[in-house]
Amino acid sequence: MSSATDGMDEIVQEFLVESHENLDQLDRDFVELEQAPGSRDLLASVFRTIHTIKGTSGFLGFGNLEKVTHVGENLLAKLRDGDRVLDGPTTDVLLQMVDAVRAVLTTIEATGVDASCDVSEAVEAVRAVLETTQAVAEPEPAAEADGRDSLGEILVDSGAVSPELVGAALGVQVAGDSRHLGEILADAEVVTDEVLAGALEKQSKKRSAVDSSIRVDVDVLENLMQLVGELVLSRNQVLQLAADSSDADLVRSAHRLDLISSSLQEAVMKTRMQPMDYLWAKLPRVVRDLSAQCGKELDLVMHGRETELDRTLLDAVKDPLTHLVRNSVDHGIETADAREAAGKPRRGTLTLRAYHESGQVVMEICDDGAGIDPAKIGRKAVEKGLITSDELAGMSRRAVLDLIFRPGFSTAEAVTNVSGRGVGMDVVRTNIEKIGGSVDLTSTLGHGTVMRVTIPLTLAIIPALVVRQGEERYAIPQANLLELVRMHPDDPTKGVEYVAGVPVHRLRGRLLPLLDLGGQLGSTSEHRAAATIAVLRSDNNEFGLVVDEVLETQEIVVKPLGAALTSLQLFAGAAVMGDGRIALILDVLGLAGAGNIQHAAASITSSMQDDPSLLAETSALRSLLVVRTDGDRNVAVPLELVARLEEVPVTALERVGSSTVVQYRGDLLPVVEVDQGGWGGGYGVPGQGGAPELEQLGRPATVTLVVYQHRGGLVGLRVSEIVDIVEVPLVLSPIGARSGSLGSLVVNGHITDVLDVAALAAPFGTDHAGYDAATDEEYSRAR
Amino acid sequence: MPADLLTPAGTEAGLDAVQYCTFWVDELYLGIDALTVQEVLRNPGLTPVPLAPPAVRGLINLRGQIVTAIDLGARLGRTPTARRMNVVVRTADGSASLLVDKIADVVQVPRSGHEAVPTTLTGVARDLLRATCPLEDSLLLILDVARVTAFRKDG
Repeated sequence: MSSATDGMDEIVQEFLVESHENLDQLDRDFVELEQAPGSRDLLASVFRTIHTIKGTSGFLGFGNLEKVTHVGENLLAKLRDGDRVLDGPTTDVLLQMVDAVRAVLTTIEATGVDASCDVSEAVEAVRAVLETTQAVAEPEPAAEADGRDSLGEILVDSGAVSPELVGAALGVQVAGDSRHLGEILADAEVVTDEVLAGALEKQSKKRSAVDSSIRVDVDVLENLMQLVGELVLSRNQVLQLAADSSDADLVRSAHRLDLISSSLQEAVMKTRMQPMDYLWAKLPRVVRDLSAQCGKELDLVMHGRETELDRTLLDAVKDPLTHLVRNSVDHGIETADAREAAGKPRRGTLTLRAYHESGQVVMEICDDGAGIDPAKIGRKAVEKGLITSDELAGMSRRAVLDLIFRPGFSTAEAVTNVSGRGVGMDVVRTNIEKIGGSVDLTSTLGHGTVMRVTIPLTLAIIPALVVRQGEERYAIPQANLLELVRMHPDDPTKGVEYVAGVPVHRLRGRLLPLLDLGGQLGSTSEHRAAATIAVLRSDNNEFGLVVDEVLETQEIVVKPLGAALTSLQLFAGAAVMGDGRIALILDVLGLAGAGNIQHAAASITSSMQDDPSLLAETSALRSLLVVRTDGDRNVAVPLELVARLEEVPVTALERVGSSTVVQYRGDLLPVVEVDQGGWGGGYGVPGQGGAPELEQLGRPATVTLVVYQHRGGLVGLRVSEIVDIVEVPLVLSPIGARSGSLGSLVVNGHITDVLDVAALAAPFGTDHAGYDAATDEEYSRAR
Repeated sequence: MPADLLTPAGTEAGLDAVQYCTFWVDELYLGIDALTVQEVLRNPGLTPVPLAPPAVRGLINLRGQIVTAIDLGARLGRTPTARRMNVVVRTADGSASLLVDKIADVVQVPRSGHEAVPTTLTGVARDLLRATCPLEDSLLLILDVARVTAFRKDG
């Protein structure tokens, strides 16, 4: 092969890469254009792209490519100049033209020539549209209305020309001069060419990101990364030498080398990262074509385009992502009519979301469609023989939904050419799991489906908190970190309390279970000079991780652990730190699992199943009012329910029907006798004994009432003595639970029942004047 | 079986011998296919991994790549000691480093010079050996690198 053809090959190669990139941009521009058909900017950009391809293809001798881009250019020129407006058919043929260009490029890539490509169909389609006439509706104002600054405005804003001069130039234009505004101003020598060029660049700043980037082969980056790694090691050695040396110049130079190589390392590591947009850029076109094909109307919303992921991982999730999006459009979102009938807006919404969480990249594909019916899935699975109906009966809702990931499963009523041939979801899952990720879905019938793709840390750059434990450093993904609590510097054990031997920390009135990092890592040394609690969250569980020292926060490049270590659940990977040493990255979910954090929460859950409202605050401290009952037992009432403590004369107690009441602030306050019927029985039934008997027993002349709120009204609780107010974690033993009592706990050495005040006051609830549903809700929230 | 043991990973077509990089672990004379060896390092910085299998001595930063260092002695069921020489090998799962006592020569062994591992050999070593090569003055044991570097859950 001669060097001349080599050079030619290189040019062709470059042309192909560039053109493919431009075509992706074109797809996006076209979809955007449909929303804003008047945008001159977009039209000009599209025109430029096609024009470039046409020019280069002529130069390289690709006749067919030139032919198809030429007609495309003609049509685009008309659109750009406002002779036509962009309508549905026009967009269709332009997209057809782009597809033809793409096909030609693929052929060129494979064979080096474009002779075998038949572009006549696309050419004819564009010609047909060109020949139709179209009523043009004032394209000029539309161009102005696209929200971008006109050249005149930019020039005036920058102070280069006065508004009057621009006005005059516009006058010349209106009078029939066909030159552009800039040309008129430049020809009149009002502005210099430099100023004009600057203003034009400003006007087209949308494209500047493309102009300022170059393409680099991934292998080159890989090599660069290796070299930087070597540099860092050498730097470390130089630093070591410098540390032992008294030569001030050497020390200074070494420090400069240190700084520069650190920055270089960081910069090179970042080059491999690419934003999610690299994948997502193609989707608007995919969604547009699909929705048209399926006869659906929908908007595509994307959040987190800038979320960065390693290039190799991006490539790996490309196909699964496209598949999931296709599925959502085809199966998820209903037709406009069906949506309207269901009371939803006609246009469906497909939302893509990407973000870093727990050191992983999460990508969500959410549609607001019909949702997935587990019953239907189950039936299909049984029909297809994937499971037996007995198996189905024993499956949870989640497990049933998971069936769609089984090979050979399809729920589409009709098999379309888009999806639904029973291949897909299982392949998606296999592909994602191949790179160590996971896919799962949640679906609400009638409201939509969320597909959640979790992509592992591997090679992702994440912000992390670096801590020291013993001799080693560990990185905690910032995504899991809520806050840091510094322990008492002199005595780190201060602030750590124990609930049945389990360490906890009081954090603003809540109890935070603690895990000791050293202990979790199998270290035996108990003593620590200082400690900090890193408050972490995983899967809605919060816990504190006690570490020796917090060092810094840093962006780290996550590396996978070798095959020998993948079974360790405490580590999510490892990272090379700035000094060349390695820090292990803690897997917060794994830590929580190893430390029984979830398990503990679950056991409390099961013991308190009877009263779900208490679950939310299980480990939190609660203030309780401890009172002594007439039966000489201690009982406790959650303090936040207590409105007042009152002392009233016994004679004020009166009977109304079967209830005891007292006149209280112009209203009737129902009084609950806490300990009626002696110990051992249930608490409570109000007023059964009644006031006369109380008097007979020769009790004190006054009674103490704990007035508390119940369903918006007040109820008085008759007690014999107020004992104390205590703050304890409300972890109830179910042993004492019975009517009127939520359970028991130990307060100051006494077994104390926690009163279920709601149950005690229930007889008053419904007929109390102040009660309504809203306050009831408020009440349960207050609990 | 012996033919199967010698998958042509280390041989070129037409070449009738395999080159082995050899080293010592205690009194064992071991060899691995020279083509799987990436480099040999002395004493790199090791970052220990808590809770790891005992044979895993730590992690090495090899020019930005993180490589697991495996004490070959411990892997073969011997007591872990402070072995210093790192033989970095390439495997399907990335690189790993084998800690050995002493590096020896590269040895060329004709295909016919390979024998099967004695069937009477039991224990961990049985799984990790591919073949034996009786040399003039010693017995070279050929390791299966993929198995040495991969641990089962219980490993």
